[in-house]
Amino acid sequence: MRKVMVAVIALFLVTVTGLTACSDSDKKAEIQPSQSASPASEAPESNSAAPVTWDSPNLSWKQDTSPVKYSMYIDFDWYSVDTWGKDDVSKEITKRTGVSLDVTKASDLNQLQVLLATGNLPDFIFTSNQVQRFWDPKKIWPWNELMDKYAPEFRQLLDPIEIANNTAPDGNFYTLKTHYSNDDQWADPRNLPSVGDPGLAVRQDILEAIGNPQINSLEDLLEVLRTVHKKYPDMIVYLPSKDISNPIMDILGFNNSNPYLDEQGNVKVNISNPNFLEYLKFMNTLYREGMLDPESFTYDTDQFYQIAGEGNVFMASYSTMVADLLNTRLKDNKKDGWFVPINDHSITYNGKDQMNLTEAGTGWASLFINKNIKDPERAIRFVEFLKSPEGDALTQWGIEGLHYTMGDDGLLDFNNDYLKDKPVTETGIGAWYFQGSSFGETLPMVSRAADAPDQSQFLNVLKFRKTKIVRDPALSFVKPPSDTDEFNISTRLQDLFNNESVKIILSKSEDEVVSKYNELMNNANKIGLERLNTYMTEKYKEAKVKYESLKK
Amino acid sequence: MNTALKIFKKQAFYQILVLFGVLYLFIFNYIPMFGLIIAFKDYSPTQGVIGFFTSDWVGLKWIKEFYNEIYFWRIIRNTVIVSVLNLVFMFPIPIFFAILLNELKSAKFKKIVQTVSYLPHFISWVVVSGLIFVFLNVQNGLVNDFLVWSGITKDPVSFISDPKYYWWMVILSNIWKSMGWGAIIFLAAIAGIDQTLYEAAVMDGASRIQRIIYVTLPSIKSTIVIILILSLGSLFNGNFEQALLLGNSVNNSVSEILDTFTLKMGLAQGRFSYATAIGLFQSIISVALIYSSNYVVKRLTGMGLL
Repeated sequence: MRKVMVAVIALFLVTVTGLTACSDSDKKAEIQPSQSASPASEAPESNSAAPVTWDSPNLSWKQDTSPVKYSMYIDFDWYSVDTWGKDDVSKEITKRTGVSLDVTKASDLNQLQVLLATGNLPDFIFTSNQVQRFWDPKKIWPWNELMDKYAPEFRQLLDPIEIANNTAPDGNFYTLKTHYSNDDQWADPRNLPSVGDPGLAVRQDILEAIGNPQINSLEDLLEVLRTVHKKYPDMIVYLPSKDISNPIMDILGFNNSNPYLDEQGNVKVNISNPNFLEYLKFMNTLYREGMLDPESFTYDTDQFYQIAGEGNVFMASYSTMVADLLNTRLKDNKKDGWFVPINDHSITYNGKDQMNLTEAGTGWASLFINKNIKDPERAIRFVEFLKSPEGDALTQWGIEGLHYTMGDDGLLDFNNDYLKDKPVTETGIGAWYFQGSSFGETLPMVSRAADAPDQSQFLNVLKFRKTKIVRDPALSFVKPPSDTDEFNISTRLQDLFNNESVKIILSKSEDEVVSKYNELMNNANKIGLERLNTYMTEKYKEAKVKYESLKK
Repeated sequence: MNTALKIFKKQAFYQILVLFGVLYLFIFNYIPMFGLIIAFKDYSPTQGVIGFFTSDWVGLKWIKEFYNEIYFWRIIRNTVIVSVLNLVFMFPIPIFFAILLNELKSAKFKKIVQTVSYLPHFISWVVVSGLIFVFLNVQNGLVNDFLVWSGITKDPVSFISDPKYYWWMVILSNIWKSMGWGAIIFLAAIAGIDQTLYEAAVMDGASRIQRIIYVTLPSIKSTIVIILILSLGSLFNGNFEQALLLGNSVNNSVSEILDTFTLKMGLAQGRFSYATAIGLFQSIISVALIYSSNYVVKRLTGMGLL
């Protein structure tokens, strides 16, 4: 999902031009309303009289900025940079902190597991895969220990909820996940959900040609698709992308990988959702009526864009930016047509809005510090810098004055004269986000969108999604740890979902859909569906108690 | 003993050469076999190499789990079918091709054909799968455009996604990629045949086909048997890259093989014990297949690997 998100952001940044510049450099405090969080309850007492803030002059990371070099493993084969010290931002980080990194980017996503097994871990590890395996005080430094020893004020600057989100069963926290927003940050209107969320777009010009019918329900949508198919028989009516959760699932209240919270407060695997069958039936109808080509389930992202950009697709689904990205593609290919998103408003099914966007919202990737690191003191202090509003702004927006200035409206004004045609490998903007916040990530997009509204339809989708999202951090504790039976069940159920969904959609009749679905559920039960659902619900309820006590 | 030493001394240079080969086998093929132990243990990568010894014994838990996989029989079936199809088509075709090339009169044309035919061997499967997409996709694939334009089919054919075309796609792409390369060794063997045999055959009134059957084929029989036995050695490998790149969520009922399953459900999840158990299972079947095939070949030709 993150890979998709970064890819779409990169594409978007390339397409948007014409930014104007203005200056006001004193607004940093305003745009980070709540980074100065209350101290964690477990944090040691500070001896200083004045309350410590991110602006305090004696923060640990500021005390020693002599040169130090660490090795860093980035566990993402799609990552945009792999060399430290070649771009503006990494040079600036070294200038301010003294830290430089010897970066290794994953060439294979299985590599890290092997490094872990052989014990050859680098100083820092940045990953989102199987992170529970790193919750081991013999191999990885617990941050709480490092903070208490080398940066006591760091813990006081953190939101206790964020610490709770990242606390392992042994009571330590080994990381603070990136792209997290606390409640105050989330409330900021400039902070939006991930652009990698599902997006559904249709051709507005075709819609107008058939009388501009409203699409407020899946039933409306089906009728529109049928009309288009009848009137334009050579057109590809619907082109889904396999690389992102299907927005029809989203409308029906579940997604392709995460569990969902039902109305009774139980956490369940996606295939347990009764609407899963409705999704299969809906997609099967499209297939049987010739509106959905089976081959579309095999296209990778490049192939998806290549076909969708030829101007012969009526509806396409990918990320929230699908309409904007396809419009750019059509323009580049000199094809007529204009895509508009349709999941920027409520779409009902059976007369009811069934969307269920209850999510953990606790962040994404983890940064781990190897227990064998040669200078753990400077390491945790480096993390403190990265986590600070200053570090967040530097890594995600660039160098103030050179790359951007802060506008009076709280948006960023990018220095387009300087940035024009410069790749991320030269600027380093948005690349070294090892402790970046989600607010820091979305602000550049929101800022750029203000100057290019016709290429920013995705903002309407994100704003709508934000109204529907319910944040429930207890959900981040339901995932079974690696090497447990529940983890194996979860893996096998996901494989079942991936393997069978497409086959059921390609059934020859609705009866066949139902019988294949029943067979799938039988197999799921044999694998241990109920056991996993019970496990997740129990873990969720335990975590819920923990959060309730934190609130008190 | 003295005689053995004498013989060894006499052959010292060759023995040392063999020793390197044996050492290579020992280091890279025998020592890693020790790792098979984790197929019977509850090993986690966090335990490091020491975990090979310290992790708990779980007996046949992982083999049983694999056997109980919903797709167990399907994966076994696919692996066997792809392997057998590869053997059946990929073994004789280079021989036929080499003989055909040998029969060409124009040396220049022969060279061109030979070069063109073995070049695909150097193209990686990643590129080949991209080419297959460009040629065969439904929306704008060249083959489908031609089929519809010429009226051979009314609608484009889902070559890439329809499971019923998968094995054809695998075999044909494999033939295209490997035929020319595979033929080189047979061409070399044919080149070594004594020309007087052909002359004698012509004198005896043998037709072209008869010369192929009674001179060429018997003369290269030993090469054919060696290549066959070598092919049997890798019979159960199933061609992992091909399955990974040409397989997709629509055709995985026929494209999922043991290797892709091991990668997906074992290694990618860091479940090394499980992956090892499946690998061990695959090896056992491979050994059984090699022995049985070797027996058949031995019965048929009198020559065998073992």
